[in-house]
Amino acid sequence: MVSFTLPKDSRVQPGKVWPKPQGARNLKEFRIYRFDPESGANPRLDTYYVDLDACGPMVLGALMWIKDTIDSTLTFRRSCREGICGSCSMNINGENALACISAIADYEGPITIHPLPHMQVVKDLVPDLTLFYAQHRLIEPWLKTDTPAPEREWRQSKEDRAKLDGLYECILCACCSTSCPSYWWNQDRFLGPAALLQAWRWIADSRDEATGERLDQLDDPFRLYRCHTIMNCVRACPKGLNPARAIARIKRTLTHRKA
Amino acid sequence: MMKDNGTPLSRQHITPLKRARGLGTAHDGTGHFMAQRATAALSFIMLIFLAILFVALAGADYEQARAIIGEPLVASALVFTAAAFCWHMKLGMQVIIEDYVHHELLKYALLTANLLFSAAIFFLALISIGRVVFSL
Repeated sequence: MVSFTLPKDSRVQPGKVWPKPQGARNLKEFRIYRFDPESGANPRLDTYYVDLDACGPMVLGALMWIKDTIDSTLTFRRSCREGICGSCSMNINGENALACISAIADYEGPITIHPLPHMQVVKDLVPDLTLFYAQHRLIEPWLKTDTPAPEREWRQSKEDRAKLDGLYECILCACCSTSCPSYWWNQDRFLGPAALLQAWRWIADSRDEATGERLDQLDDPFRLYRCHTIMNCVRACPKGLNPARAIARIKRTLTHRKA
Repeated sequence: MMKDNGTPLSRQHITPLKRARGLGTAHDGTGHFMAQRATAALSFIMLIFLAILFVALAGADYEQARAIIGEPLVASALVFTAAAFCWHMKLGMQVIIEDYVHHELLKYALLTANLLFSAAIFFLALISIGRVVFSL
């Protein structure tokens, strides 16, 4: 059976409460998941008090402030700080989001931060996304053609180009896939909403000549059809994309091919 | 199927792409999906038929009920309803088992039990309808 509870050595224990910064008047409580695989200890939830007058307005700003001023061992990924690189995806108060575009002011009370759900944790808020990236590689996210390349660019009508809107913008932050229960239970076989959104992006591309081959790769009870239209992916996507609709379109296209 | 042995994938001696590709595609699944959708739609239509039949049977004694159900069209529709319901039940339960049961032996045992149970319910319905129709 799938495991509905965490293994004993993964259960989160109460952690350290770090002292409040002296002189700060505008404090916000952050409870942050800490895990160091090399320590052999269980994960714990540390409590930090952030001086909101001294850090940026976003959750990522608070994390960077903690790392800079309280605890330099706190580990998380981050890069662009404007919602375009997808590095700082994490679970904030129970919902997957990008820390860099999640405003602290939008959360009442303490903010609890975990790594993306149901993934192996490398350290603290850093999940192991190796399989997630490999699934993206599996769908071969590049233009595939047999026709010799034209001297200039592959031509595409404005209408056909417009069909890619809402598909190409994915930043591979994994918020959608790691919010999907089907992905939690079967991520070694189900490709997940992010990879399937990109699969549809290339199937829908008027210039791509490998449509049938791409559909063949998806016609599988697990790779595609573990999607039960739960729609968590749509709710979780920080870019406002709709992987569920893309998956439905793949299913419809496969149905058209068969019937 | 390769099992996760608890070690982060980034530290296992297997390439991520091999892990992602697994045993490849089954080139199957669309048929199940179409059958599941088709039986869902049929079941909904047959549910309306059942509701109408129940209204028609309200207050009827056994002989009157037998006369209505004994109509070839009504009897056939009842058998068709049982088939749609049981087929849909089998398909839905199969998905739930595949979702949650990962132990190979238990999974195949439950999938077989699911098939047999759905078939048994259908034949039970078939025999029951036949019994009324032929007044055995």
